[in-house]
Amino acid sequence: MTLPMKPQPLLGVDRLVKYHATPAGTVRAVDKVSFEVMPGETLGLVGESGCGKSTLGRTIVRLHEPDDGSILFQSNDISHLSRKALRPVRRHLQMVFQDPFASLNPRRTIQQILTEPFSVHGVGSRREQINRVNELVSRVGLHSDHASRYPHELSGGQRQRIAIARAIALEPSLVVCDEPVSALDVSIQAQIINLLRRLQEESGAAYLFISHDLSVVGYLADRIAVMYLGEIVEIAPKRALWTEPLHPYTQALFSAIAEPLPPSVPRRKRSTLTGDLPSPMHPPSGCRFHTRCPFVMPKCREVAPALAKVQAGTTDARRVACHLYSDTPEAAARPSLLSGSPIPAT
Amino acid sequence: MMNSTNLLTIEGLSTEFRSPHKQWFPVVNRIDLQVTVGETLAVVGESGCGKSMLAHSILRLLPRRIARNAGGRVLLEGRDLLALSEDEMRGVRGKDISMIFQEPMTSLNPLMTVGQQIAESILEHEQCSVQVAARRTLDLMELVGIPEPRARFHQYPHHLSGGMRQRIVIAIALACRPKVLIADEPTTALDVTIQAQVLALIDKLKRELGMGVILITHDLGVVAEWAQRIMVMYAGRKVEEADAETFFTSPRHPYSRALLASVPRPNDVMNGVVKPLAEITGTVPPLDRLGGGCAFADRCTMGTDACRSGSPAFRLLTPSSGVACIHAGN
Repeated sequence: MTLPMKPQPLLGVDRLVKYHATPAGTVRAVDKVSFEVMPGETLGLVGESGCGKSTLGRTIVRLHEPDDGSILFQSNDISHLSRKALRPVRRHLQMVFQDPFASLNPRRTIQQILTEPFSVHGVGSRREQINRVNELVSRVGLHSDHASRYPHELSGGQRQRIAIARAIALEPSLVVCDEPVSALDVSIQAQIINLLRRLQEESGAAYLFISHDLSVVGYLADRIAVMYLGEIVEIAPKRALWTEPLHPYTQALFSAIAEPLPPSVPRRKRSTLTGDLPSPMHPPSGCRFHTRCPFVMPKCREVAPALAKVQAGTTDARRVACHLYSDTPEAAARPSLLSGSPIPAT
Repeated sequence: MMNSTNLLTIEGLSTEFRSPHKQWFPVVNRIDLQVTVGETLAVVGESGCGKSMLAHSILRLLPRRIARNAGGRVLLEGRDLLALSEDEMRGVRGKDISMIFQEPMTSLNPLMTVGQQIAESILEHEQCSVQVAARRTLDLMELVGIPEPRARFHQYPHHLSGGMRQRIVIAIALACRPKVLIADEPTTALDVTIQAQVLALIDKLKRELGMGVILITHDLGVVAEWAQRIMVMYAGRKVEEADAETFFTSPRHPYSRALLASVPRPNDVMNGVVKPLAEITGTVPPLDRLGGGCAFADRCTMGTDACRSGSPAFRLLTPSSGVACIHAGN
């Protein structure tokens, strides 16, 4: 009997660190973050502003130089590749940004913008490139007339379609999408979300989908990672995370979702977090969430919890960084946390 | 929809803008609405539908060079604000009706301490000593949940987080105990956990102070949780109005339905249902180029020739709900 082959992750991020030096001090934007993205899956990355999710996305595509740790993409360590060495990698590793106004060169036509990936990577003859661009324009739901226009002649939604077309031009295996629908109106958001889903079905690309909007991430992702102050505090398959968030921060985050349902429909119990996000320059000792956690224990102020499997024997898929779930007497004293809603009503 | 506890009654309010070609065109088109004591009325719609224009028209904040009133009345407890002089209107703003804006950083003065800014709005409207104003400022800061108000009093806006700044803006808006609070996207710039805090605060203060609230937002989830009544705007017109339960159970206007179907549903996610989101094709039409018919007709799945021949009148379906669509059934 042969053992089933363990599928190779497409992206493996290991203890990745990225600090930003600012005049006021060092911002610990990404602090020893580890996770994997499998081929073809969508990993959602959620967290509030300042948690480091965008820095993480940008470091993975190497717009930032990592300070420590490693990025394994298609089994190659790309953490410290030179610009030149990165070029062939970029074919397979693309990014879509939040602001479709800032991410397209205003002096170039859509045709020129979309031809660039092909010419940079020397793909196809001039004639073929033009055909490919026309094909791309129609794949993202635009008319071929749009190719001759400039970005300012397009609406925000149309511009985001172009940014997506550029990202998928060379059929990458991973697209990092950083808040790609946050700047758009709801009706346009729906168009772009549907487009991203359709393109993924056609191409089999994996997405790292970064957003502060939990409903959107919940809709698109297979698994979700939750970030707080530069660290991943929980990572789990989507439904598990939605039905039973474990980390107190995840619980607060999900309980804050406002659902467009009739008022008579019962809601999740709301846990309103007190206080603000602490400064990422001086993150709290121990567990970084302890200053706002409703279940804080003495240990939490001292020891940083590791991102670990919830219980021995459970699958690898679900990991949480919280002392409540480690095998300690304190954790054992709170069995209710693993069943039902542990959030105290406010 | 009349009620004896109406605070604010708006009848047929119309506002026009001047196009670069010197043509006047409506941006707020014959709007009727009421806000009662202790009620939150949500005004929803996509950007460009006229919700902020409505708010600015109520407070007469639009620049006269490019905007003018084109009829209607804005009655605050029976007094028509549109008939007031500019001086009298200044006495109403911040005192009887207050407004909070989306971006807390731009509505605060970066050169004044937050305490001074709150005290200023008290001194502007009321005869009291600086000491009294300062004491009330500290009370207000406590009311809106700012920890250590005495220390914060002397800080500048840039010292505070986004959520704290929005609390200061709310404190300024509430300084003179207004009857009506207009909140224009008050939490759009804030994170979800902070958003919940700020909306809960507005709701609590509304009940404690007996205010009426007009909540302008594009976020239907926020509407469902915090508003009692909903008014949907499209291209400057009211296209639907209903109580929250009716609106979320059986929206009548195709635009309302499309809006509701275009957002991912947390419930579906939990139940493992993933179906494509409804898209609304096209975009909100430019208001200076509206034809004669229903402005939504070209994006509407039910659009017919009849829709394009005349603008549908708003009609009541029940005493508390109505719709402006010829196809919305009875």
